Amino acid sequence: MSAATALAWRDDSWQFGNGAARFSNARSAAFRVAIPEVSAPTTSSRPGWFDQTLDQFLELAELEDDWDGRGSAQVRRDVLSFALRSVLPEIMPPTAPAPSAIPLGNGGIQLVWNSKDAEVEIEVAAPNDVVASYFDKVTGKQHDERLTNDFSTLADVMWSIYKG
Amino acid sequence: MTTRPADLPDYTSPPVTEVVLGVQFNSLDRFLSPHLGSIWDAFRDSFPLVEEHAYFPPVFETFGTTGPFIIPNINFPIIAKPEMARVHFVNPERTQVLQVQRDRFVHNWRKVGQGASYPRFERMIEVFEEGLGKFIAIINRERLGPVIPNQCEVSYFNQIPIPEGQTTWDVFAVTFPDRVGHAAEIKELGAPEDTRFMLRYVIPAEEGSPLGRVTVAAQPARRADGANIIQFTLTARGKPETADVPGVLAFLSRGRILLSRAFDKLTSEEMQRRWGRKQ
Repeated sequence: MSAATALAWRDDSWQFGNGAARFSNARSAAFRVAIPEVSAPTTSSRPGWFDQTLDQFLELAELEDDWDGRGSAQVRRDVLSFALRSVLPEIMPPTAPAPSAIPLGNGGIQLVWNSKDAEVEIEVAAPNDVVASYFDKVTGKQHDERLTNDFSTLADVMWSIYKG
Repeated sequence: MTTRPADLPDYTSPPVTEVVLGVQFNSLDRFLSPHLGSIWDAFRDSFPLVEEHAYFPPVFETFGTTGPFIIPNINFPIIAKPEMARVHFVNPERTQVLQVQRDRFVHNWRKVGQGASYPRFERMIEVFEEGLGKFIAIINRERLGPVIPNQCEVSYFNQIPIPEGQTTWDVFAVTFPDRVGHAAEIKELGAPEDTRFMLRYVIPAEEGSPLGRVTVAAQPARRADGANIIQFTLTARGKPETADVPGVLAFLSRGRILLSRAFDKLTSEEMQRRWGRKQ
């Protein structure tokens, strides 16, 4: 884990997917009664691809406007957050490799996985605005799909490639 | 004017202590700290008090594999710029709050002391709609937009006191009899000391695809005054069917009905009687 990644863990309140994350302050949210933890669990549900992906995303977050000298927009933070916290957990098997993360000129990002038999690309232009492309190198067939919040078909593709 | 659906259960003294209506939109990256002054100007007559709080990263209800990974709550600051705060505009009675940050507009009602009574959803959504309209007008006037809603949320926070002489488990059992029962008792140990639960339901869109989730959670907690309580929270969060103000209002209205149904289904008749159920 890089220093930048370690810095990002300052708020390391782990959440169940996104569902329990906070949307707003609520004054009447009472103090939780803690469950004391004497023996910390030694197993972890943290997926192997996470740290490497976060390192790349934090580098993308540092890009400013015109980062390529051609007038490209800086990468949108809501795109990074949406991709990391709301797309990848829904589609990635734990053993899948981290994607290559590439900035796009419109503030979005492209995520790419390349295996022996298939290539998968996801373009996240904005929250709820995703285009997924899947190319089967064996059959030569390509499938493109526009997605918003339901990534079930993309999850099926990723699990069929990387479930081992 | 919004009217209350006739078939929704109503209570004379519900245990609700806070209600939140909110919308999250695509981040307005040209919205900078000085613009908060323009926003406050539009609201300071009714909300003259101001507080600064930490920014919350965006949240989304999405769908894919069952049981997605646990993911940390990571914020992505733009390194070259400090992160803008979340600002609260508060009314003089401190019962109503508008929360504004670069990607969110939220309205809270909260119970302060014993006197304040819940103004009801119909009034709250009017305040929310009026406030959101003012906010969007300023964003458009300053050319900071467009405001593109991507998630909505309605939440109800309820506090159920644990009376003196009763255990947390006792109150769980009488409040949520279908979730907590005698089957959990163990001969050598008796009944559990306490419990907690979270239920998640998928909200379908009209054509059947998933729109968001209703999340219901109950857990032992302690109020700021030290009283032991069960915190019972119901939240409907998801994508508006259309990314505009009517879509947001439709989601919040539907979410409120779903939460009312969930409250009605999951709590006991005995407790509903104590809360003064009218029908």
